[in-house]
Amino acid sequence: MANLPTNFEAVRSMLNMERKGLMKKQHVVATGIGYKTVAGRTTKDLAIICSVDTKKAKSMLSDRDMIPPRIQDVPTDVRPTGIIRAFQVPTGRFRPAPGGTSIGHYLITAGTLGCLVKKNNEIYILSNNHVLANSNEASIGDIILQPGPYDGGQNPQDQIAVLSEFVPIGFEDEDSDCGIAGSLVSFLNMLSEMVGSTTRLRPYRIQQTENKVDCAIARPLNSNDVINDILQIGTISGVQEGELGMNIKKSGRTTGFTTGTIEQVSVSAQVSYGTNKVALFTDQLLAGAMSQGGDSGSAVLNGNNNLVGLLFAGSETTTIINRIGNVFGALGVTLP
Amino acid sequence: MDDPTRKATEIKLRYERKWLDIAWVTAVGIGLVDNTLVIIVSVESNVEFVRAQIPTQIEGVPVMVKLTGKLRAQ
Repeated sequence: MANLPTNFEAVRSMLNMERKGLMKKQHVVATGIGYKTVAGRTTKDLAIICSVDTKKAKSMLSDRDMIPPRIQDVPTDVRPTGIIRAFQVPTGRFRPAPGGTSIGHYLITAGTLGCLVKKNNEIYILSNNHVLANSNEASIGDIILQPGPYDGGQNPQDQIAVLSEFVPIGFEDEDSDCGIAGSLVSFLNMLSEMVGSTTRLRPYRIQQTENKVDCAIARPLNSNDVINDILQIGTISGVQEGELGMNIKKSGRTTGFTTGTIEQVSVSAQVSYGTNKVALFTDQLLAGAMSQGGDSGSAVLNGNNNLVGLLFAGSETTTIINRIGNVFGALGVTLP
Repeated sequence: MDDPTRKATEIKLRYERKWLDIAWVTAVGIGLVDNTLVIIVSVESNVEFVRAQIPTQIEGVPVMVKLTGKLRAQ
């Protein structure tokens, strides 16, 4: 441990005497001891540091709420830190619920609440189809829980929203909706029945459907139950296209805040959705390891807090992300 | 997207269907390795098996094979 300045004990005594009075001043959220900074440079003078939620001009403060430049012979320093909140695990229950927290359709385990979006002047929660719409199996109006069922979310006390809309995922080898194939198979099955065979044909699509997004939106029951913020990240500044080499970050239900880099673009990927369900996705972004199961639905942002994508899949080494332009285009949504 | 990336993407599009049909291949994308645009073929396992079936470059664009494991919805 480094040697403390000779006047450290004196400054600590002074802070102990003044702490209560300082904490009563408007905007002060914490007090401590540190080196005073002047014009952005750290000096060698110990000071009483007053952390404030926002730094206000002197003209906007009453005399009672002003922090004096010195308390007796000890200098003070004011540092804006924002509101200090107790750290809450993203698997917990949040009201209002920010992005980065657990959420899910009532029949799934849990995924991540991405962020808020707007459509027709209404606010919606954005996440993945496989988080909010149970991989195409859900019905519009289904119950959405925060936290998700795996994290203890229960119906009805933890219902936060209802499923509003989802973009269906086209899976490999799904039953075909082709009319010609359907008619032909019906005819052949009729012949099969006539000759006494118990074998039947089933039409299915051999050409994989190309998906660009795994996304859905849910309408909050109460607008006060959600907040336009992402845990450990803050507010989204805007929207930007993801590019090769871009530094990115996300806040997710399982791995919390992680960072990475876009290592590949124009990615076509075959993604497994449980047993025997595979879907082909094109025009994806690929990053290194920055997610695990349960992080699906996380909003992916760049260093300037611009939204670039929606995380939905990955492996031990890889993370796959929908481009946010494709997500917004498919759902017809914008940022609030 | 800049012109070189667009051009590499067009070349990738001509071959990726064939490559995605190879066992163990999970993804095909465009990456940057040592400041050079490359096509990256991601595989679940059996890297050498896949590498033997894919050229080291295609229409002037290098092709790399990379182990990523199985891609799952998370």
